[in-house]
Amino acid sequence: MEATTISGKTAEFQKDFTRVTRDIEASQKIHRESMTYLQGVVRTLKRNKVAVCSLVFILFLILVAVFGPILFPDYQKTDLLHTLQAPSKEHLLGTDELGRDVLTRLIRGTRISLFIGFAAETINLIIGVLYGGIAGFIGGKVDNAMMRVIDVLMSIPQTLVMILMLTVLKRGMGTLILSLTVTGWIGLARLVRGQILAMRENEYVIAARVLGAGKREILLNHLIPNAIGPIIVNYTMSIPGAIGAEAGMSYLGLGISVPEASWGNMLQFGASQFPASLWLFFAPAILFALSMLAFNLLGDGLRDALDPKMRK
Amino acid sequence: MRNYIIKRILLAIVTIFVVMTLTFFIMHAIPGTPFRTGNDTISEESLAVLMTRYGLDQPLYKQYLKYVGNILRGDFGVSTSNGYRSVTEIILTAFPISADLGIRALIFGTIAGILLGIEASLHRGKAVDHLSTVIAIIGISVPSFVLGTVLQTVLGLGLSGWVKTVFHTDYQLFPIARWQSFRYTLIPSFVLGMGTVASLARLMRTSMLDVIDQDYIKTAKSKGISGWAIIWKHEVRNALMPVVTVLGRMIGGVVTGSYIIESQFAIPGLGKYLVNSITARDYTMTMGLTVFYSIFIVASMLLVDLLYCVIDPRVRLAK
Repeated sequence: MEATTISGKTAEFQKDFTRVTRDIEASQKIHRESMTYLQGVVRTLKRNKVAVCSLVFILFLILVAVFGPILFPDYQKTDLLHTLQAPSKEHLLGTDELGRDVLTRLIRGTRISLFIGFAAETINLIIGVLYGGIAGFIGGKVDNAMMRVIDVLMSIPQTLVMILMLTVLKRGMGTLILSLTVTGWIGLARLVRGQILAMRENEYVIAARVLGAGKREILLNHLIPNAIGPIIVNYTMSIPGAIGAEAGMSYLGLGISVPEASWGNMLQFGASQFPASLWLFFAPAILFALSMLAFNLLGDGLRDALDPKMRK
Repeated sequence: MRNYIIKRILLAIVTIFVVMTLTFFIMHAIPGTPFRTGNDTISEESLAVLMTRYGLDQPLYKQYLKYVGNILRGDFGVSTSNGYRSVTEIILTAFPISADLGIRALIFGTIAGILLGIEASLHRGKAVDHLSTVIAIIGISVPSFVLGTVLQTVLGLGLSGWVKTVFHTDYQLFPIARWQSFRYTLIPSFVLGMGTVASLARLMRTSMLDVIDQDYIKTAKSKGISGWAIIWKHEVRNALMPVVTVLGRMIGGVVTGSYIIESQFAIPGLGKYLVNSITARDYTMTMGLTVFYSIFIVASMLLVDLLYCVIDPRVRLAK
C-alpha cells in the first residue's frame, strides 16, 4: 500500500524533470590552464594592493637612484648668498646651510643610501645562503662546528662592530658596507640552514633520492627552489635595516660624511636644525620613513605570495 | 639538562674570549701610539717612559697575555680622554645609569608592545591592525635620534615655552636633558623603548595568530569558557613563549643601544662615554667599552637561555 504511494509520488516528480546523461569527457576537462609557480606568485602579489604600491615606489626610488644624479648633478654646488632658504620655485625643497639644493642632495642621497643597502645585503645574501646551505646540507659534525661559529658571532652586536671598524679603519662607504657584512649574514645563514634541514626529511626529497637523484640534483632542483621564498623575503626586509644602520652611524659622525650626501647625514643635519628649518628635517625624514615602510610592506606581501601554502 | 647548561656556559666564555682577542688585535692594528694621536707634543723621552709604564714596549704576545689577565681582574686600562681615569671606574659609575634607562625603556616597550600586538591580532585586518603595522615599521626603522629630536622640540621646548607664557613659571614637565628625577626619564625611555614596542608588537601578533588556530582554543571555546578568559589564560599565555626568547636577546640590545639617546639627552651613561671616546679617538676607552658590552650581552643571553629551560618544559625534556 505504502510502496505504491511512494512510487506514485516519484512518478509525479519525474514529470517535471528530464534525465540528463553524465558527460564524462566534459567533466574531466580542465578549464583553467595550469599555472607555474612564478605565475601564481605574480597573481597573488597583484591582488595585494599595498605590496604593489610598495613595489612601484621602490622601483621609482631605484630609477631616481640610477638616473637622478645624472639629471641633477650639482649636489655639491654651494651658494652662500642663499643659505637655509625655505622651499621656493627655484629650490623645491629649499637649501641647506651652505646653500646647496636639498632636492638635488636628496636625489644623490637616494643613490648612496640605496647602494649601501643593496650592496651590503647582497653580500650578506651570498655569504648567508652559501654558509647556511653548506651547513644544512652536509650536516653532522661540520654543521655543528659551523653553528658554533655563528653562536659566537651572534653575541657581538652589529652597532659595536660598526663603531669599532669605522673608528679604526678609513671612514667611508667601503668600510661601512664591510662593517655591515661582518655579522649581517648570520640571520640568513640560520634561516637557510633551518629550511634545508627541515626539507631534507620531506617526502619529496626522499622520493627523489629513491628515484636515484644525486646530491647535486637534490640541492639544485629541490632544496634551493623551495627555500627561495623565505630568502627573498629576508633580503627585502633586511635592506631597510642596513640603510637605517648608516643613519645611526651618521649621528656619531661615522656615516657617510659631507659633502657626499646620504639619507643618514641629511637626517642628522635636519634633526640638528629642527624646528628652525623644517624642510631640512622633513624632506629626508618623510622619504626615509616611506622607503622603510615600502620595503617592509613589500616583504610582507612577498611572504604571502611566495609561500604556496598561504595562497587562497 | 646539566650538559646543556655546561655547554652554554663554555660557549659564553669562548665568545667573550673571541671578542677580547679580536678587539686586542684591532687595537694594535692602528698605527702610532695611544699617546701621540695628532697634535699632542710629547718628547721622545716622555713617550719612552709612557710606553714602558703601560707595557707597550713589550712583544705583542706578552702584551696580549697581560691584557687578558688585566681584563680578567677587571682592569680595562685608563681613558686618555677622561683625564687618565680608569675605564673600570668610569664603567662602574656610568653603567648603573645606562641600565636604569634601559630597564625603564624595556618595561615600557614590553608592556606597550605586547598589548599592541594582542590588540592587532584580535582585530586582524581592521584599522588597529594596520595602525600597529605602521607603528611597528616606523618604530623599527626610523633612527631614534629623529624621534628624539621631534619629542625634545615639541614636548620639551614647545610645552615649557607654552607653560612659561601662560603660567609664568620655568617648570618643565619634560626636561630635555640630564637625568635627575622621574620627569627627566620620560622622553628618553619612551624613545629608547619604541624599538622594543615595534618588534614585540609584530612578534606578539604573529604568535597570537598561530595560537588562535590551535585545537585547544576550539576545545576551550566549546567548553563554554568566556571570551576574556580564553584570550588571557589560553591565547596570550601560550603566545608569550616566543616573545620571552626574543626579550632576552633584546635586553643586551636595549642597554647597549642607548648611546644615541644618551648623548642626545646629555645622560651621563656608558653610551655617552662611548660616543665621546669615539670622537676623542680614545681607543682604550672604546675598546674597553666594547669588551664590557659584549660581556654584558653574552651574560644576559646566557641567563635568558637558562631561564628559558626552566620556563618551557619542552626544552627541558628535549635536552
